[in-house]
Amino acid sequence: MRHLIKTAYRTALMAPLLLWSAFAAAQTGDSEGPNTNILRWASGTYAYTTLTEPRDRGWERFHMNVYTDGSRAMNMWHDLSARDAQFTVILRVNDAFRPQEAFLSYWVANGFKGSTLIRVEDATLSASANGPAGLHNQTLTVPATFSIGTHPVSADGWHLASDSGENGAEQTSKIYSLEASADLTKPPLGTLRDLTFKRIGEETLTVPAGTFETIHYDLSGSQVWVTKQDRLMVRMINERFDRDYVLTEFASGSNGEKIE
Amino acid sequence: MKRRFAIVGLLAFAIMPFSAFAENINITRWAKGEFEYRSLSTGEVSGTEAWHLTVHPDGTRTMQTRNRLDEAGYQRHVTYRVAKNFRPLEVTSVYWVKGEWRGTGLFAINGDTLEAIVKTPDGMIRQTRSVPENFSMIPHPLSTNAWNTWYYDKAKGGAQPMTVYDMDAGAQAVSSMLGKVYTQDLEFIGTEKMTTPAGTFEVDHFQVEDVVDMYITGPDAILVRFKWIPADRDYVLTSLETGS
Repeated sequence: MRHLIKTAYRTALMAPLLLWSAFAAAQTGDSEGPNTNILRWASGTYAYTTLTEPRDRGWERFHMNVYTDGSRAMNMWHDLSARDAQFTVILRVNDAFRPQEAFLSYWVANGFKGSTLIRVEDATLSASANGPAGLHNQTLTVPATFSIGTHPVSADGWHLASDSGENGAEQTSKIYSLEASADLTKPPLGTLRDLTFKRIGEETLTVPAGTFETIHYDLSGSQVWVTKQDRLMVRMINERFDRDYVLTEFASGSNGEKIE
Repeated sequence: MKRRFAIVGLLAFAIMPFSAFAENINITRWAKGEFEYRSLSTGEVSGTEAWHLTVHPDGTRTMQTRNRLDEAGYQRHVTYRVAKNFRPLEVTSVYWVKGEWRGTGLFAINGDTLEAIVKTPDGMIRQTRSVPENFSMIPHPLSTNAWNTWYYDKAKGGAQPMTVYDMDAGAQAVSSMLGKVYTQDLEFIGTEKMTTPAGTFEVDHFQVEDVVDMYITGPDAILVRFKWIPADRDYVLTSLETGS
């Protein structure tokens, strides 16, 4: 009996992993379901806690669509109650995870900070921010490989898209990181910074949302585990700052399923 | 070590130190729900919509939605922000039509001016135009259509003008996603009880031009049902969660 319960428990844990592997087969292709645009989708919820106690610090949910050309759009909404921050974000990347556009609307401890639309065309990033600080425009030259840090954690795995696949090697990339402090005089525009990370290796990780085949990285001091194909964050911990972000709910499907 | 500290700070605002745990002062209340897009005559489901509403302490509201209308080949992401009185502040939208990305746009309203900037497969397009005080946006999720009634005078009753900036649902041709302003008649029919798979609600029943029936509930004007008889469409709220 105990063996059966253990087997059932293992099967339940493995189900999301098996499901995810099945949908991870195709990068691009024709839609096989009723909607001609969507190849597959995933959605989930994260809990933000401290590592040591643990104490509730907030939560986040996301929904990602993968389209027939391999591009992805990620809707994110977070409630970082520990800092009285609430961010609403959509980020669209191409099939190589290079940012195409982002929209964000930030509420911080002192109130509404602003909304920003970011567009990327070839080597030019243009951003327009509107809020209490007024209307601000920004134009930057960006490299072929870079990512946008909008601050919800769901898309933080996309910072690692340039991974060479070599375990243990220090790697660098660039991040356009958004200003998100409580200072309302500073518009939510970004600065282009260096980013360092190291691939630790492939690991099977079990979290409240299920068991996932992941790649483990050291991302500038944070330990992160992301799924292989869509680079979805499964867990991020930072011992120095006593932070833990863990996937607590996860669902995914092909376009064939009408109800998301 | 200092460099690492700086990068970590940039990476995740969420991991910056905080003084004390508290409720989030920026979220007065929230709601989330789903619609099924059905045929009125057969009940067949041809699409879905999921939405999440945040009401902020100054009364402004942010609605994040995504929908898919399978028979037409549409999939959209829309974020719509309105003032305390539901007048539009901004819309951002991403449209996919029949397997092609058709555009990503920002539509910002400052006073009587609407400024649109839309990135399309054919390049950037911009639009600046005046808008009246009483108007709303139709970015094409259904959930925000209920907000089109915000300035209707119930005490006066009868048919009243409802002006909308209606974005091109198919994002066709060179004017991709840009909208047209027009006015229709809106009439309050009465208050009713309505039951859907999401629950039973006391709703305000509005009619638009005798062709659309909208049923709306609560202080956040949540759409419960939208019937469009000539198009054989029935949009029904199938789930709802709320919180403070």
